[in-house]
Amino acid sequence: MTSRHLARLARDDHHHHAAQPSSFVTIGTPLPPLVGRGRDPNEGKPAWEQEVRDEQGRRRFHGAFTGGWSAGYYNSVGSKEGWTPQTFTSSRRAGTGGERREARPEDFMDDEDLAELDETRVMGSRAGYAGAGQEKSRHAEGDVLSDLLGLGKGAIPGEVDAAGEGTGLIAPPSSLGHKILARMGWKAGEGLGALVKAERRALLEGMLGLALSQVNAAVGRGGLIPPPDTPLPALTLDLDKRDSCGLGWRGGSGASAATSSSTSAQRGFDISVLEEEDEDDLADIYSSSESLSDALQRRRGKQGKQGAPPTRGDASSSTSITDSNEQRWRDGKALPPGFVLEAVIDDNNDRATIQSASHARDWFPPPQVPDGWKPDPFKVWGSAKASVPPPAPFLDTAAAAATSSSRQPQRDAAGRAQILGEAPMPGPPPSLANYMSSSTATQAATSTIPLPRLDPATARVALRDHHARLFGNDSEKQKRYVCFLERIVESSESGSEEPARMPLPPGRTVEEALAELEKFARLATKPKPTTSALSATMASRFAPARTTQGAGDVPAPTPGLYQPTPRSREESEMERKRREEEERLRAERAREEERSDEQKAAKAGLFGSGRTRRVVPFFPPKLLCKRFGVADPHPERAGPSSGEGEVREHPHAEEGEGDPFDAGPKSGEKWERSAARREIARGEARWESSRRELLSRAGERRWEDKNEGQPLATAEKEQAEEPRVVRSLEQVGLGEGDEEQLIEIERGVRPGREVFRAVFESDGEEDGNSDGEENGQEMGMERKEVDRLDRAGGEWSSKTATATATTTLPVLDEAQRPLFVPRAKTQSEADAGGAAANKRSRPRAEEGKKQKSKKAKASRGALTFDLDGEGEEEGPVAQKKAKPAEKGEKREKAAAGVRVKASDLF
Amino acid sequence: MTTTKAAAHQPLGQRPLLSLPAAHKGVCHIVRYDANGRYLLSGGADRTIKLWNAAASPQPSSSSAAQPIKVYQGAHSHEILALDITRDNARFASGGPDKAVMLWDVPTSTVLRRFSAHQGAINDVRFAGPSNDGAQAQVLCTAGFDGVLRFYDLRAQGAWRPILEAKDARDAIQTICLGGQDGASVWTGSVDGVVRQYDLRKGTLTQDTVDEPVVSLSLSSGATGAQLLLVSTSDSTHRLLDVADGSLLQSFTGHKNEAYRCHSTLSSPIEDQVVAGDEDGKLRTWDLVTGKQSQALDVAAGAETTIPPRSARSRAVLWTECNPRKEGPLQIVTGGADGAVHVWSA
Repeated sequence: MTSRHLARLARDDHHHHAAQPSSFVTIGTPLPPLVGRGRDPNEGKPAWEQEVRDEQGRRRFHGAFTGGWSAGYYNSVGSKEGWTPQTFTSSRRAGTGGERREARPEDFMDDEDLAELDETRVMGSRAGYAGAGQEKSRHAEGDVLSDLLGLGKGAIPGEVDAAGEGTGLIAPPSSLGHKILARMGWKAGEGLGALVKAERRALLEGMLGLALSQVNAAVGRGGLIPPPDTPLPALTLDLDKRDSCGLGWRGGSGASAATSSSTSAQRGFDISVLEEEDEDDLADIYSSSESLSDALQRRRGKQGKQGAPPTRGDASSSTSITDSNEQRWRDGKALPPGFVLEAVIDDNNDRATIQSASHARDWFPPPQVPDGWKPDPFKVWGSAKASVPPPAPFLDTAAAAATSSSRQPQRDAAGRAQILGEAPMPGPPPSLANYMSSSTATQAATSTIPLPRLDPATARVALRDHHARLFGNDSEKQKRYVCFLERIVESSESGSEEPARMPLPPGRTVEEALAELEKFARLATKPKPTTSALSATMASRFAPARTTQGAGDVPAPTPGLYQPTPRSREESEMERKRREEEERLRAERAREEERSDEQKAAKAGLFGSGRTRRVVPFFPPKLLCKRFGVADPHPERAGPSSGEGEVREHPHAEEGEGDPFDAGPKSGEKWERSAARREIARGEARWESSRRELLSRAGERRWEDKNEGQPLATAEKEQAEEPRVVRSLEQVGLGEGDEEQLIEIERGVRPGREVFRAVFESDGEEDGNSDGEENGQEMGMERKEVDRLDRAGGEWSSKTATATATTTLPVLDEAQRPLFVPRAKTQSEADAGGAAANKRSRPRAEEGKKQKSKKAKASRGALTFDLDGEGEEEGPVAQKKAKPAEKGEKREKAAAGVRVKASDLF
Repeated sequence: MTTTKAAAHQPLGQRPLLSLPAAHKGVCHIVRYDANGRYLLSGGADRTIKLWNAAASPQPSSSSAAQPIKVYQGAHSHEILALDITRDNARFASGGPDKAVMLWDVPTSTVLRRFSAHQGAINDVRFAGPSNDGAQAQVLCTAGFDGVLRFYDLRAQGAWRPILEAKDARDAIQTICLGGQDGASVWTGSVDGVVRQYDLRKGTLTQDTVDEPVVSLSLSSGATGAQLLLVSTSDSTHRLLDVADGSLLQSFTGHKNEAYRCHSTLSSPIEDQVVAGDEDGKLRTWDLVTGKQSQALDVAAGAETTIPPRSARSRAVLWTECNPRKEGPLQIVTGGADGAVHVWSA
């Protein structure tokens, strides 16, 4: 099955490629083909059926409610063989004799964890290569390179000698190169290359400047001994090199040092700077004419110097430089500090120094001294060696020269000019602006930005508590702020008329800086509480109070604690009273402004239907109406809000009727202001009349009559004046859409008897039938509608008929429902012979159904049989595809058969 | 019926008919008559509800004889602010700052139901239902500090959710009043100064603005339907509003009511007076038509309480209610901030 599946995938893949035009360009790495890696068992499954398994195919997560995670071997700490505890070893015994084993985290990890741990390990470079003090203290420069090459100290015989330590104590390192060499037969301490005779070795040792070794290896290897180990080049590597000079540059020398280092670079790596050889010197080495003893002697002397190589800043180097005539020109003059004779660097041995004059190098005569030139030694030495207490020119002591040379003061052009005795440039020290063009100069001028106007006193105040952390942790901004304030104060103190300027802070554009300064200015004017840090943190926790309408009148709050100025009691009392009075007036004014018209009317004592009364529709739930024993006041209301027993807010919003107390006087659409004003103007008269009315009624006690619901005469008149709207059919009975109905409701005019009967008889029946029913939920809306349709007469029935015609379908009996109705024949024939045809059609249709189900069963059987042991659910797909033509034929036949039969029925 | 002049009112007796000087420890917030006017139910700051016999005791002022018939306690964790008794006197409801409305069984003094949908103190509870006699209360109206008027279904046993939550009030609702045509109207008076009438029959919400915090509402309970609404506000004014159009018919002043909910009422059975206690410890009556104050009784002095009032505020008469019986002289029960309950009779 799997192979078939893979074959299908491969074929699909192939088709896919074949379908593409040849000019198709593929960009990027395509996903690995599905065939290559194993099939994802979760492929195509919904998320809740997918299973996650580990590499060994074990299911680890079983769902939160069916077991959770499982781990180990069937949730045990053991393995397939069982659980074996670690052998017990007494820690006491382990402490004395056997090795003490400490548990590591790896001991508690299984294979997966260890694999994860391996993944997390990152290959990286060793730390501590670059010069630590420890490295330096190891005293040999060669150490660094040996570290670099992975060789230990012991691998370098010369170093071992210099250190005076035994080789055996140092474990040989094992670098890859080391291992390769060892595999090739090399041993530590030997040189590379073919075995040589003892004489050759001695010669080589002499050439390499090594101490002659005891040659006794002739016994082992047939008279041949390995060549001597080439000592590693001892570079004068300054490990904490900070300057930009080249590697190996010792400093102090001029062009000659550069040339020398360049020559050494040309020669290769094997010969160090210190071991620079002249051409003749090289010739010496490779010429066999030179006697061994000479070479050895020379090397010994050289080695003695090498043991303490001269380095910058080292006091010992001064001895090598200051001794004899090296510090002076050949004509006896002392060298300027920092200058070294070429030969000294070029060749460090005595012979070279001696021979330097006789070298083929050209000797240039000293320059012609112009007439009238007077040397001014003080100019040269005065400033350059200010640190040297006695500025003795030329004939300074060796020590002074040493210190000056070791100091190597940082020189600039002026310093050099001073050293060389040049005349200083007249005028003030040149500024950068002198060298700039006019356009750049103007640009630079704008880089000082004008400061926004700020009262110097304010700035001073702000400066006084500038330590307040206004900007959180942004100390730079704080600095800029303080700088800004200081500038303001300075400019005010200097009394300059023009606005103060401030250099543009680096890295900011002019706009940014200006905007920030504006902000600073605003910030400075803002009152700040004096308790700085606390207030800054606390201020962020409280929302500022909303500004009220009378905000302009409110005096700005004074920051900090209130410190009352001493004042007489009467004065403060008066002040308090005055403030209270102001407060009261302001509050009153504010209250007056936000008052609604109703409230104003009530305040004025003008009560009544047009002024303080406001009527909005109220839609009580049906259940509530039922519990109160009243009819639903809005029976026509449909929608979810009429549901019974549900908690519901009073729906003003959906009716488009704003509550005047919620939204203020704006939303009172029905409330017309002009009319209201008129009413208020007429109010007194009306009040008088109604009062008279009341008094007369009180006398007659007429309101206790049975004549209930009789409003006052004036109100009635008012209502009679209202224009009557001609009702359209759509509006009839639609609650607030039907104004007339509203008016009727307000007047308490009851609808006709039949309407009530329509409503209440059904309710009564419901109540009678189910006494214990709680919510009356079974009282369906539709049922009611139908009832009303049947029973009610007049306009209600016509209205509901229009409403229900669209919503309710003609109710058909279950038995009459046709099963197969061709669309074309429904209207014409269904009515005529529907029932009879149905009777005939049923068995045939059922037959068709049976056939269908049989087929379905057969196919299902095929599916089940196709499942193999692998449990692949998509297995049958390939099988299905193998016979598409056959199946499709069958299906078509079946469908056609059904269709034919169905049409036959009619 | 026939009296037209204010002077025709029979004045209240100077001495109380029944005096319960220590009905409650602390403040007595509410005293209600039962439907027949034979019993009193009082609730106070001591978290207890006490049932008293409203009939005059043989020794009116002897405090030793005055013992409550029943004490309902243990259910409320705060003082009792609201009480209402069903018409069949079988159950009563109580509420308070503990936000819970309890429905009690009177004989067994057990809590039958408990409603706790309110998010604030309950200020008033009222039973509502069909107005015809003999019908059981089917709805419980509650309102309180959260400004929501809730209707609980009492017929459905398991229904703990209110049928309706009317959130029209913008401030705490202090009082509820029921009545109207077929008893299908609910009035609420709230601190935002608006009297709202939820008329279930008409399906309208009528809002009458009086612009002062409303502390008390009383409806004329004539058989002909409510026409007059007595609105007491905390600006020391009672206003008589016409229910039909909201016009002001009369206003009654001269007392002090600024801080507390001092319940006022119309006299019963003849609704020709306005009766209210005030914060000065006076029980005052006004003529309904003329608006003139007809009587001011010092409650403490009249009751001859041996314990002098501790402070000025403990003198306040917080609840005044008339005996709802159909005939007989005017009987008024008062509950005071000193915890005393007195019954006054004309």
